[in-house]
Amino acid sequence: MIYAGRNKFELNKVFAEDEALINKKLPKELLLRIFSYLDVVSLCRCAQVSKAWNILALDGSNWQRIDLFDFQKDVEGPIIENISRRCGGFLRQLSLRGCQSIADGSMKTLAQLCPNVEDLNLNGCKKLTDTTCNAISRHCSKLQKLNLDSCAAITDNSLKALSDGCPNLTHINISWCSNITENGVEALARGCPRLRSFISKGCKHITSRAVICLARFCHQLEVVNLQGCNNIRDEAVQSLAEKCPRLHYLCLSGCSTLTDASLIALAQQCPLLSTLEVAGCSQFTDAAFQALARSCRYLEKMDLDECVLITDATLIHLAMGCPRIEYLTLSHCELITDEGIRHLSMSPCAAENLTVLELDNCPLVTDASLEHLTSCHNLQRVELYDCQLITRFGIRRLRNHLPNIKVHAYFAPVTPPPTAGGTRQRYCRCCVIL
Amino acid sequence: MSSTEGDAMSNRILRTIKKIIENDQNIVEFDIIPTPYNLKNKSPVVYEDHSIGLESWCIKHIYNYACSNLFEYYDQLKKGKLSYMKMGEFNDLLIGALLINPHVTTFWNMKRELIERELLNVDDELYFSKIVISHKAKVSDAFAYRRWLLQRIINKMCSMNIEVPYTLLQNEFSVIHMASQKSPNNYHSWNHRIWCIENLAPKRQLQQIVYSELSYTQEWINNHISEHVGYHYRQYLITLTKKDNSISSVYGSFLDFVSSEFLSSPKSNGPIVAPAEVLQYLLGVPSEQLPPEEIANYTNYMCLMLYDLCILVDKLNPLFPEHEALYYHRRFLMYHLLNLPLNIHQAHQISDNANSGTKNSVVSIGSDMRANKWSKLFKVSSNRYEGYALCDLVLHCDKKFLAQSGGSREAERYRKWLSNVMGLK
Repeated sequence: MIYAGRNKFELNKVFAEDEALINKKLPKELLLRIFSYLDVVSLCRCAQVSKAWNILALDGSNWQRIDLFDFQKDVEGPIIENISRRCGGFLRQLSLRGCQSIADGSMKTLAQLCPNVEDLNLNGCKKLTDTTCNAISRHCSKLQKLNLDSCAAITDNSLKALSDGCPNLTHINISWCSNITENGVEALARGCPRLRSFISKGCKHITSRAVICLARFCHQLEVVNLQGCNNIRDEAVQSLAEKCPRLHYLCLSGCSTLTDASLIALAQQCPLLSTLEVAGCSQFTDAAFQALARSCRYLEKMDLDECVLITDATLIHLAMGCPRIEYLTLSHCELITDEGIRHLSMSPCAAENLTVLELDNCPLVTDASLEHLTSCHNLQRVELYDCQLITRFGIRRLRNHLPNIKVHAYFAPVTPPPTAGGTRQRYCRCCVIL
Repeated sequence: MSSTEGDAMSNRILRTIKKIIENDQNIVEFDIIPTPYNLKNKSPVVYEDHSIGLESWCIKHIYNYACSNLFEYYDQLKKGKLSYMKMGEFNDLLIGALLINPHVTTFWNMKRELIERELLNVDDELYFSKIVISHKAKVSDAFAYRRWLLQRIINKMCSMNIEVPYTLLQNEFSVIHMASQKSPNNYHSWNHRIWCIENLAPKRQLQQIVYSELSYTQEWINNHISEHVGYHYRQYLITLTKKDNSISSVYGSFLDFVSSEFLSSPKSNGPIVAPAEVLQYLLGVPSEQLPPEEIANYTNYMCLMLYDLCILVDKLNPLFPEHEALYYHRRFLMYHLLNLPLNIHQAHQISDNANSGTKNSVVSIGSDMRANKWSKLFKVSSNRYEGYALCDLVLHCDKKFLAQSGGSREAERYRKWLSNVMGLK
């Protein structure tokens, strides 16, 4: 039975009275199937057509996946309560991203009425507190993905509750929840061993111990984002590398105390790494990147913003070792010169994969680099802000070779010269005739 | 370059400016640096010594970019479809557009909208409008925006029963001082100062604030002789001392000055110092007739004007001859000093009549008004002012002054004004 049982009798009665041809010809199962392909707005419109359609369109089976982002301003408590009543056990996926007016009360109702929810996105619901997470942990044991980004009132108690009640959790995002400390993360790691994705941007209280616990209990981790957790030390990254061989996404931007030891550990134990963001880790040197380039051959995206110690050597190793690089940021790497760019542009990655190259604030890069880059056929965007040796001429030449490329620099766009026909004639027509 | 790349550039520049403003809470100044061409691939944002400069070649691109995108963002905001990220960008655009051209009220109103939706912080916005004022000091919109923000703060404080902190007023004064310094005759900033005195000053401290403001304006006038704004504000303060009930005690320094300058007679022992006696002597008003709270008001009012007449105007005039603004201030002082005794007496006759009977009072007011009208139509003879010690004193001072300043052009005009408007010979 697809539609909710309590409506069946009612529905039959309504359908019997309905005169519309479409309802006579099409069985309601088919109608329901058609409705299941519609989006939220269309469903609500259909619900206003007739009594029969109203019952069918608002049937919980059509409302398994709901994203209310487009209505974030208008979504308030009663709406959530209505949705949870309608959907009941059908609800699998709910996104309330940006719905700031949502409070704990309505989320409690939701957790009680929709125990089968698997994916819950509460990004930016700032009023939510630990009460919500307690309710979720009590009722929604099937929860797999939870996004609590920017729910600043959340504390360690939430993570403890989740670890008790949601053992199936695979994805969690606790970015900018600044109250969270190592204790919460440790509890979470113990309770949710299937965790694959852990994102905690800007949680300054997360320490090395938290990450070590995470690595010890959650061996399946693939995605880890510790951006701005500047209390992380080398031992944390080392244990992460050791215990989680499947890691393919790692962001350590802003963890400025990390040294080469971290990168070498990653190089030795995480060969699957495809994205590495280490912006602001200014202690990393060429040696570490050499090790990395030798073993991590699947690297696609690298953000080396402000790794000020790296030189052309890093580029040479990357060019040789990582043929898949698509996206490379070298902003503020002030030691990079044309020679490094030359090696990069001759590498296999450059010819096929490299699409974005950010070189802003690299003061030694000159027009010669742009000339080397002409061989990168796939290149779509180059950032050259503040590279003061780059000239308009060099950019023009690059553009002649790669007509679709976007070159970003501090040169005013040239406005097309006013067309000759637009200038006003010196004599009016009659004067000319005369 | 195509326009999308110009957009990317503008976007980056706007973000740079926003970041600087966010990270530095002590920015002194924003300005545009005339640079017709940019030959180097260099950021047009110059940031040194807590000042931001923007090279002029990028202005038109940034402004164009901001204006063409703002309305779209605003539409989305109205429909509630603007995401968080975009809201930040929206503010970047507004910052850029308003720094370049702060005279667009629509943009300020967009800012107000963001404040009302609690997407911007009131304190940050006060700071931002200060930077705008540092660029263009005569932007009435920026001051209006500040007043709107301050009003929000005041309302919030009132609803929580907290008194508005004095630091708020000090902060405003420092902004106003900067704006007044930057641009001569800046009525926008001085009017804002008046608004602040009326709305931000705590009533209990008003007495001290007005006193410090009086010395501030004296200093200002000494340095800016021909700026009439300074005089205008001082005149406002002088009238405030007469009207405001919360100024309930006498400013001793001005009274001392007046009594030592004018009232020491060899007959009596030393100068008269009690405010009531001074009033009685100069205005001929028996002190019992005045309500006690008004004694201070009238004393302050009179002493201040006498002080201005003898110190400010008389001392400055020989140093800076032929300054129109100075003569106008003198006119203000003469007019109000000479009319003070009459006004007080009139006010008291009316109140006397009001005691005796209501009908009578109406008639007497009517006849008074008519007398006033007549006096404006036809020149009143100087004997109108005779009989009051104050008027004698003032006229005596004036005679001395005119004798000194001789037949200069401004002095001649002033003499004409005295005879035509005031009815003096």
